Amino acid sequence: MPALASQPAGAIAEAMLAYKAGERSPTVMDRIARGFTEAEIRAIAAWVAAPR
Amino acid sequence: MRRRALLGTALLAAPALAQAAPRVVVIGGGFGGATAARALHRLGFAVTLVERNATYLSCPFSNAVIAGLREMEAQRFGYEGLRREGIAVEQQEARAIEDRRVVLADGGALPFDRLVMAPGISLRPDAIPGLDTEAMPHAWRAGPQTLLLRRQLEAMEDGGLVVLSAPANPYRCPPGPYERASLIAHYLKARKPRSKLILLDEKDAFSKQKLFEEAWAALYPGLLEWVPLSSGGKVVEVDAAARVVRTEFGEHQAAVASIIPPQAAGRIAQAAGLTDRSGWCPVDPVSFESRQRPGIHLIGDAIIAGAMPKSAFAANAQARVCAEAVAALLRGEAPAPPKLINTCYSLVEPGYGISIAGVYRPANGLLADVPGAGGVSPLGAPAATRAAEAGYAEDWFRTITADAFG
Amino acid sequence: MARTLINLPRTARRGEVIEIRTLIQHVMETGYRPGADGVVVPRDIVTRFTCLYNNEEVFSAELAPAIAANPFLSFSVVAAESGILAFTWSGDNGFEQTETRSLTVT
Repeated sequence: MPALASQPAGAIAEAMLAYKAGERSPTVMDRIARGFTEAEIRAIAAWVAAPR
Repeated sequence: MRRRALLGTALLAAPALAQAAPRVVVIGGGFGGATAARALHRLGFAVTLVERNATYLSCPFSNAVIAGLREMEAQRFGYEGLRREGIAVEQQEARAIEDRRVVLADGGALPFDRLVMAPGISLRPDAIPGLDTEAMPHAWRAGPQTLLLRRQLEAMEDGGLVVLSAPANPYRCPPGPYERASLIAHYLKARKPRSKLILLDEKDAFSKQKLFEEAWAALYPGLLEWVPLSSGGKVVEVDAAARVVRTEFGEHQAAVASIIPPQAAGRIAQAAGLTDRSGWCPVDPVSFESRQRPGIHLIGDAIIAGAMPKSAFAANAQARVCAEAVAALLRGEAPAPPKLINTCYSLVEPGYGISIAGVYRPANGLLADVPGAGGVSPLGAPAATRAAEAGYAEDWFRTITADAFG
Repeated sequence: MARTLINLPRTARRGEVIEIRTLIQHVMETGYRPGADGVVVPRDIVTRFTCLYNNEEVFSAELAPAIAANPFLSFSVVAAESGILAFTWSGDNGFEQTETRSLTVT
């Protein structure tokens, strides 16, 4: 699995939204992404991408 | 997991917290407790972690140690990472929880503004008459029991019967007994091919059941037999010295037996009056605050979490949510309702992984599944999918242990 | 034929109290539960269990919709004489099944 940290928020959000829509080859992430709204996914992506 | 909003307010409040210096004590240094200590420390609190052991041995992947696929030292994690960050680690047992202070084994006391407890489980071998856990190891806590069971399997002659048992729900690591059966069957197939394994179950259904059954039919036909409750799978007593396991309808002469007894919340939670009649701890699903004693939060295997299973991943997720809730409460704010994730991988042989995932939110006083989310790996998937998931399992282990222990 | 499990000793001393355990694999559909299509699933339960000991009824039970699937029954009888124990489960849709076991009393 590619590391998420240091990837830009937009790319993370688009990937998660693609998983949610069933457009990326499934891992566990499609099953998890379906549990979140688009707004929640964008918030998660921003948090993951933020420098800490 | 509305982290952006939560994190923003937490950072703004940090200077005020530093002045007031609220003290947070965490009891238990497993996946839940260690994660909580680090998360609370990052939020600006003075954190003390109380843990009786010098190092932690991980239960996830310990079934691979039993089957000789992994060494115990790969399961060991220390607290140097936490200490380096500035978390005080008290290596001793917590004896009692008084009003706003934890009494330690050496007689000292740690005052707290909020307490987070991750006490894990206690095992109840007394519930199975005749059970001697040295003769029939449960190995349900990674440690000497894990190595004892491994040695018993290594010493067993080819052709022996291995008897495993799985308890009724709820218990730590719902798919664990089935992964253990799979990996021991893998060991027997390779090293002691005339042997058999029988898994006695106090249930008629279990986690990832169709995936396990698909794998067993392909990998271990005639070697591994699952006996559900409705086929007489409930263990009622054992003769530990003679290695006989008795069910309601028959008995099995084992060469090696691993009996997993029923469980309850860790002893300190029981002693502190945090458990209900079920033996587990009722909590508020938003704040993880005890429903029995205000000011005390509970996470991990010890709690009644509704749909959320007792797993390392769940404890880690609950720890992060709980830390944010503790911060909000200490600011005098209401914690935001969370969403939590669990993912759990099981190995059925090396390079063959299967998974279950779920997303949870508070509903009706418990944690409930978010509809439409979660689920298990596909049935009938190609070997490449199973190999990828076995790889993800390794990645997951590295990530979660780094997150919990630094 | 439903799968049944019956546990009792093969031999007993005269006058000894022996424990008998039985289980039958049965759905015990309550008749109150809607199926996946929203239509209530018709009731299908075991309604009665009897144990005859040399043709004399020594134990019986009435079962109701609230009883879980795969009903497990445990009861005791006094070992009076050698003979046959006959266990009969009967219920909805003409369901009836009998299993027998022999007991030697010394």
